[in-house]
Amino acid sequence: MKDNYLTHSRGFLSWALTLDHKRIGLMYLVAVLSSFLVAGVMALMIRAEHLAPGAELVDADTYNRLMTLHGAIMVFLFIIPSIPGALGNFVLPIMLGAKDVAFPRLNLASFYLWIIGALIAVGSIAAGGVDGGWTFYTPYSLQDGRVGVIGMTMGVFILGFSSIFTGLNFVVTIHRLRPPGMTWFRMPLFLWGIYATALLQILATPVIGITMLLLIAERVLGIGIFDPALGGDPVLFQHFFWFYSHPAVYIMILPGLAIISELIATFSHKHIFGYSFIAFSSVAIAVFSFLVWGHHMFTSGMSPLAAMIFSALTYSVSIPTAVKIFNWLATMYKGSISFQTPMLYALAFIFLFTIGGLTGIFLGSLSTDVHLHDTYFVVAHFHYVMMGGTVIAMLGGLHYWWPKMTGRMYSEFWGIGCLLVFVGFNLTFFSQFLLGSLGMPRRYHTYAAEYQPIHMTSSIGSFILAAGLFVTLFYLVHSLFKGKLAPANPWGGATLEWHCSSPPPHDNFSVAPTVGDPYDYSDLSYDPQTGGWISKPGAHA
Amino acid sequence: MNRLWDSLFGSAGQLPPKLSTTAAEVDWLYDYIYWWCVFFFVLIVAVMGYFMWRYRRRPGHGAQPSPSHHLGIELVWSVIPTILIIPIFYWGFTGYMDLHQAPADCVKVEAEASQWQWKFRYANGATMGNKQSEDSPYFGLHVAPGRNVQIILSSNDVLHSFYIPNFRVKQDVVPGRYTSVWFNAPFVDPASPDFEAWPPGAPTEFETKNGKYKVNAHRLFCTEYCGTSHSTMDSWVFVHESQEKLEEALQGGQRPLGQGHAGRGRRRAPTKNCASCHAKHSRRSRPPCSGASRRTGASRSPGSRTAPQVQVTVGREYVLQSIRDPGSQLALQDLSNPGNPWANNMQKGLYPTLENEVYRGDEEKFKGKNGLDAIVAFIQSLNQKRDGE
Repeated sequence: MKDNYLTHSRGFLSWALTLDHKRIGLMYLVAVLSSFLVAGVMALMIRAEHLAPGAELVDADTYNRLMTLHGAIMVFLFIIPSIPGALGNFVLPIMLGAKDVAFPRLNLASFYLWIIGALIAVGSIAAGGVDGGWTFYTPYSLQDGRVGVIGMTMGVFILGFSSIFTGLNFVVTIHRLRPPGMTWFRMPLFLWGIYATALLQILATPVIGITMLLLIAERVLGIGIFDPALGGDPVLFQHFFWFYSHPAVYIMILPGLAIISELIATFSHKHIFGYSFIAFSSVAIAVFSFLVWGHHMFTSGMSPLAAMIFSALTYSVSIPTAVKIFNWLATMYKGSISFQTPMLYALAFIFLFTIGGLTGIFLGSLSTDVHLHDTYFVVAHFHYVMMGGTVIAMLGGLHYWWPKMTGRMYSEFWGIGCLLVFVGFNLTFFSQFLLGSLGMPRRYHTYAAEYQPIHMTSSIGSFILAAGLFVTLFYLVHSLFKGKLAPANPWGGATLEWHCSSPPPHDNFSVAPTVGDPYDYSDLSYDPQTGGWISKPGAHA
Repeated sequence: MNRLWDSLFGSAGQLPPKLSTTAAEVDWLYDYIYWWCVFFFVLIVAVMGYFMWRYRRRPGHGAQPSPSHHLGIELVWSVIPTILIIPIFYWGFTGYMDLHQAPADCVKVEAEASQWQWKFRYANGATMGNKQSEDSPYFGLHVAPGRNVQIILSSNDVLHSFYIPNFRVKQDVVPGRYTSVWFNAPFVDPASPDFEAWPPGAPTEFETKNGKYKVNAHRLFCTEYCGTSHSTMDSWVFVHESQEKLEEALQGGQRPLGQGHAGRGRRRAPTKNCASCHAKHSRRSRPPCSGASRRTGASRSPGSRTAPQVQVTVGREYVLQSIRDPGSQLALQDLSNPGNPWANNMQKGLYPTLENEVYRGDEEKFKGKNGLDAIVAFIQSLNQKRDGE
């Protein structure tokens, strides 16, 4: 094998102190997938508990901790950093045609901040008794002198800085390190999505820091801010929390949308439809996402005027999201569609994300939200968007760039793990829509007997889903040792990362790449000898 | 299975039966949204499926040229969803206002939340817990059919949320402020063919020592996480056959004026030094702490002798107010009685207020409305005894 970034240097320190964006991306990948595994096992314990209405497996306090840890780890340690930190770090500079990100040291610092933030956040939940779910609303989270919530916000803030560093790096890299010919509108749409995400990371995260400072001021100085016993307002905490956490929802989903644009175009072998609409819809989503946080609070006692305004603004986000889906479908039109594993994930994404998005309309509408708020309907909705959306897109992206990252091909046959994931996911979470519309409240350790059949269906679905994910883990790891060597361009992608070898050399490109239209597939043809695509038309025909 | 089939067709199978007057409006909008969602979902998945089959990669088939952008089509699929959204938003908002604005003629019931129980307090002062206990068969939220009922919500500790799925109402209960929900629920005879129940086995009778009474029962949940036993902080709403039946059912057994509360108040009163000034019944030298229910009163702002006279509804609020600030509302007959030396002092503002005296050094015992409520209930029970004599 040629010298590449994996073999360029050896030893623990060559990884721990690396400034190579590809290695940092891989370290992020291992870190976030470990978090996914841990929080996923917790989810399975939760679902196992819900096989029957009573308290069977764990007691109430344990359940509440599990539920909190599942949410907090999934959101803050896994989904938020997953695509930007792992895939974005690896792919973004190569896609752009750059040798690295603008600030490689900041990039490494971001990884270590993630580690520190993870330790503080999880440690304070485990030790400080935060059990109110990942939203840790006051005054419950401050009751009886609990300080876990401060540790938790501190952890989230540090994790936030980790993503600010990543975001800042990406913004500067995209502005400053584009090679000649890489104009804004020749950038692959993945970069547009990551760029919009980075702006959100930089602008929204400071608010969680302000919240933490206010919590500390309240605890230490006794100033009434959120605690009604001191004259504070608990609803104010919700405003602060969601002012950060709603944009955070789009920090999670925008990179997912961005990956899907790449997958649909490549596997349809067709120029993306409506490039500029997709690009600007990412930016529009980022901007609108700052203005809709109140839709988490329609039953909180907020004034009806505020509720009305937030409801109207919420719908403004739905339009650019719908536009993306229509554009992807139009891209498939008259294409040449292959159903390799990444594309299966992309198609599953469209299916699941459409359900996730449409059910959001029930929740954005005020009177129906009153019934559905804080029930399993909301749980199902955000799992369809976060897991059916972001995680499925991430898995699609992981399969797409796996040969590039590892230099190995996985077995396409085992890609049917995707089918298990798809079926299991729908069984798990579609049933939760029904639970919620029938009035089953969320965050319940035990539940009323009439909900048992649906709960059981959901639990069985989750075991199928888990089986699918373990199959995926197994064949991906297996490919590292037994997989075929990957060609430079196994899927026929036209973006720049497919121009360099798999895995890429230490400095990405031995020869400066020529920048063209990232979705022009006309001069690519399949080469059966290498199993990849090459860019001389008709050379092997 | 039947239900599963029904659930394909919107609210009929997906939501509990609509058992309050406002539920129908919510369900109508739910269905409206549902059918648009079904339309777009089927459209998207059908187009996707068709393209997957029609343009699958196969020998002899390659991508065919087609435009990669088209402004007109982009505008069409941006503008049409925008237009479709506007009525959904509008009906959602008007429906929300209907849920939010209680009619003026509501019967009011207080629901006080604390970890992990509800306490329902009725206009006549009776209180009930959320669960059946060994001490008392009386529990739950009892309402008359066809009446507008407003629930005034308060919390003693953390956030809770008051949710009745069958009525489609939900409202967070926020410590330090009052929130409310209202509903109007019909009664349908459980034997009649029109009777619908959710959950399927919901009780249809409520048994008291006066007999068995027909009810329509609806689940009541806490839907804001509030700690260890959040998931068992539930109860039932019982809609009785009629106002008369409701009163009859609860007659005599409903611990009028919160006897449990009053007993606690009686035990606590000595620790508050009430008796250093007050007697249970009026004596010349001491201000009475009972008998207030008979009087109409004058309201006076502290320090002003010429405050306007107002009619004061004497009740729980009056007693509470008189503990907090005894001079704020004084009865005319007391003021005009020269044999009442304390009345003079009251007018001069020489009296302890809750804020400046009782709370001091004793904050923990009075903290929460519980402590104060017990004292109020105790004083009211004195009134009742006297009235009964």
